[in-house]
Amino acid sequence: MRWALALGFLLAACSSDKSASPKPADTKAEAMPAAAGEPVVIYAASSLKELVTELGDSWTKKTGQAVRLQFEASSTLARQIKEGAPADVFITASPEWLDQLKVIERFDWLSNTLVCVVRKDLATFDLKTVESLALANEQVPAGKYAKAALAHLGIKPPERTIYGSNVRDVLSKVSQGGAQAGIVYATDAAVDPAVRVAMTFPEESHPKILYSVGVIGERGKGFASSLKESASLAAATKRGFIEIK
Amino acid sequence: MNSVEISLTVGVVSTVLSLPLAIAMALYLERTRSRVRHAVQTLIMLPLVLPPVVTGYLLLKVFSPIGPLGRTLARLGAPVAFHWLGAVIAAAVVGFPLFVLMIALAIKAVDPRFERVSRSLGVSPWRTFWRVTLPLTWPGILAGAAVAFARGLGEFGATIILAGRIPGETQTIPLQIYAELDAPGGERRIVGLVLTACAFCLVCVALSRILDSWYRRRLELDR
Repeated sequence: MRWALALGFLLAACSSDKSASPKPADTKAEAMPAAAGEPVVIYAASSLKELVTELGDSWTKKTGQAVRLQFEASSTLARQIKEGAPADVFITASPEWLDQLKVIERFDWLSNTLVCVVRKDLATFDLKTVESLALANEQVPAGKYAKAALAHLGIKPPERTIYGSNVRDVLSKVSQGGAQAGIVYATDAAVDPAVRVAMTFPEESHPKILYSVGVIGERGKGFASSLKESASLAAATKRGFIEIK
Repeated sequence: MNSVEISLTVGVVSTVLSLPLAIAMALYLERTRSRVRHAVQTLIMLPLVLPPVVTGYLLLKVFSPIGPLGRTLARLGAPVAFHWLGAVIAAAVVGFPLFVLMIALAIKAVDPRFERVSRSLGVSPWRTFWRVTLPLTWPGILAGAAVAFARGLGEFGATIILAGRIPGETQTIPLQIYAELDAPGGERRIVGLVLTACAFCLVCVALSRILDSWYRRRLELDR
């Protein structure tokens, strides 16, 4: 009888351990089929999921070098790298998250547009009177840009503001009905068929959205420089990212 | 409300709401000989081992604001998903197995002959429960409530999926700690929250232990 109780406590302890660890289930590590040598480990902002997956695929096809991809909020990835996560390349949606890391080389790569999305079935929408809004956490680049844009337009976020741990989390909060509207990048809005863009924030309303690439490990040099090739940039602009002049 | 107040409110409401159901379920599991009880027990214990995010996801599918149930509940003014009630439901569901387990242990410790005698004297089952079973088991029930409350305080995975992180409404202690961990300088701000969480849980588990050994001594089981 006592053992049942002990078991109960044990199991409860296990499950709460799982919940308390910094990243539960939303960390997605996608392993590619093993190719020659160690894979190059790429940590990228969650808004880059489709684009960097595509570029990783073509890199593997071209060079035979496997890639391992991890997508999360830049702030989360930066913390993980600082704590010793084995990233070779880190692509952040805001350059300041590279400042506190030791990088071999870095360069600014792409830009994006900030938009407000609503569910497709929402007919009328006004950001000033919206009942609930989904934003990324303040330290997440998308959250930082959104906060700046709202402040610039003199809009106070509604009392019900639901915070997502990364920009894709914000997007899913809107499509799940958790908030009437959410502030994400234009490229995120394009991948979710359940939402539509209700408004686009003017460029001057927020700090320039800048994706920066940092090479953390020697192994990442090749992949990082391939990002600057015209084929990579073409793939990016096709998905709505903006080439920086 | 700050996250400590939210956590306490969520913990208390979820424990109080699940109390009658947990007692009923424990009574059923302990006092029935039906074969179905094995299946019921397995089902009830599920949230104990299921990854909390899976529990949260399944709950979100049930209470989805864009689904029929969620829409109806929202019209009634009690939406569950992305609402503080969602945090309550998540805490209640995840804490329920422990709650039932603890109460079942308390009931198991009571000789069923007491109840049978009461029934044979023509007392109704309802009155037997109030006059015989409950007076003998209430410390065990409270011990279960303390553990369920502690488990509810610590709920994270199901809560963040079902209720989301809405500061002032659904942002409980673990959710705030989770968010602060990524923020620059956040680690300094969470010291108090971490200590609070540890203190609450320590008190609950200690309380549960004390109640448990007390009622066992009372029933002369600890010899």
